[in-house]
Amino acid sequence: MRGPRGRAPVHPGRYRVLEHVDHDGSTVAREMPKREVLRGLGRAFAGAVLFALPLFMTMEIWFLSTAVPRWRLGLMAVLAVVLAVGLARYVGFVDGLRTGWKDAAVDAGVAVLAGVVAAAVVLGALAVVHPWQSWQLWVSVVLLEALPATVGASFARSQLGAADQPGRRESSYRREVFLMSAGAVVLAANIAPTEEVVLIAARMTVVHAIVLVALQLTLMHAFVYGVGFKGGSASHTGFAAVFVRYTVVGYVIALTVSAYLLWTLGRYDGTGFTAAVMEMIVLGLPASIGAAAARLVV
Amino acid sequence: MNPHPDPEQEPEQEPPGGGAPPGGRQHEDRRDGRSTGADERTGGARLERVLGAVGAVLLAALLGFLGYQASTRDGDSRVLVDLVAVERTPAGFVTTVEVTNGGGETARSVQVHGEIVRNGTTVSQASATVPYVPADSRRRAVLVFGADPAGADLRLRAVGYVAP
Repeated sequence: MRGPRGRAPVHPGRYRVLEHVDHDGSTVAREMPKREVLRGLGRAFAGAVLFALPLFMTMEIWFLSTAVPRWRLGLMAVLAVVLAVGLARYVGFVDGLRTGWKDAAVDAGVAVLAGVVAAAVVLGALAVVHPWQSWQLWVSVVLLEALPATVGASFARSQLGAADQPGRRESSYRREVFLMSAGAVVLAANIAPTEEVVLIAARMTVVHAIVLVALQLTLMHAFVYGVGFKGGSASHTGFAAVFVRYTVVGYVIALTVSAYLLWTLGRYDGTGFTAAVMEMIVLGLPASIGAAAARLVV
Repeated sequence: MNPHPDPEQEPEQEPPGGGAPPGGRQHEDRRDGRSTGADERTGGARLERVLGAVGAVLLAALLGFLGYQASTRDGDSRVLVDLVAVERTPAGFVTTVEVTNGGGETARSVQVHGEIVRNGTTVSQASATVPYVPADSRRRAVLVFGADPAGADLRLRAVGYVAP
């Protein structure tokens, strides 16, 4: 039922068959029991709450969300969807298969739904937002929190397929790059709105910044090297190759994510270049650790 | 460098013929939705090299910039306050000012003070606090005066701030 090289499903009787047409017109069947769908939704909700909890309880986000220009907020929401689709495609696969675009879109939809609902419920319970009184604030805050919540939901959902068959994970370079971006987003988004980033950057000298960059690279490389490579031997990949391909690339991704988040939240408006770089490096600490640790989490 | 350094493919995902097909059709899903190991391998290797090179250049640029700043940057904050606009409202004369830090350090809790002086006497005063003005950066603040600054002597300055 799963194409010429597929294996038989584990419990054929319990499965509802979801079909989609592949790019070449052939039909690919993917089995998903109803209970699994509900479990996936619950897991996505739990993941959203878990990964976005620090942000839910950060007061800067409450007033930043209304101050952020609307188009930047919209761009952030679009990026949340793009990340969710990418994660579903490259990470949230079932049984070692790379997910088709249609399934990835469905998975991403569930992740976005879980992220938005989690943000709305938790923020409502915390009395941060009141849906009937100030809907503009409500929508703004929920949109701003949707990015880490959605990515967290995607992370949690991706455990579903992988957990069934440990050791059968697709491990391509693109997947690693995507995973590193998502990990950087989740950790950095929780720290980015805090005033501490600005304060720490203000207190640091350039020498501190250089030391911090070295520390971040060391930590990242320790993670990358410690976790190692899934599904293959690293026999012919030396220190330099791993360092450049994973650590350096991951670090640049982490810094890009940092700069993007700070810019979105208006920290770069009217800010000089050096101060902007310092803030980016400060936020680079959670971003780089998130990027490196994403491979541990998923 | 090894042309196929990607070590991560599972052996059982190799196509039956083995080896990499010469170019083309990279990253495409196969009919069973499974990506072929060899296709991933060549595409992934190229992507790895390009991203690795770009990343190394960017990291070198960042460290170079920080090193340059460490050797040339001056300390101290130099905070100036300039008038941007005055708007007449029922609440008073809403005066937007721009706080600029021309120094090399962040100024924290900048107290902006404004006075309208007419014929030697102060007719209105207002003040505001700006939480952070980083080096070479601008922040805006609003002072609300009870008198019209137009035609009078408007004195704006930062009366104090905390060094980081």
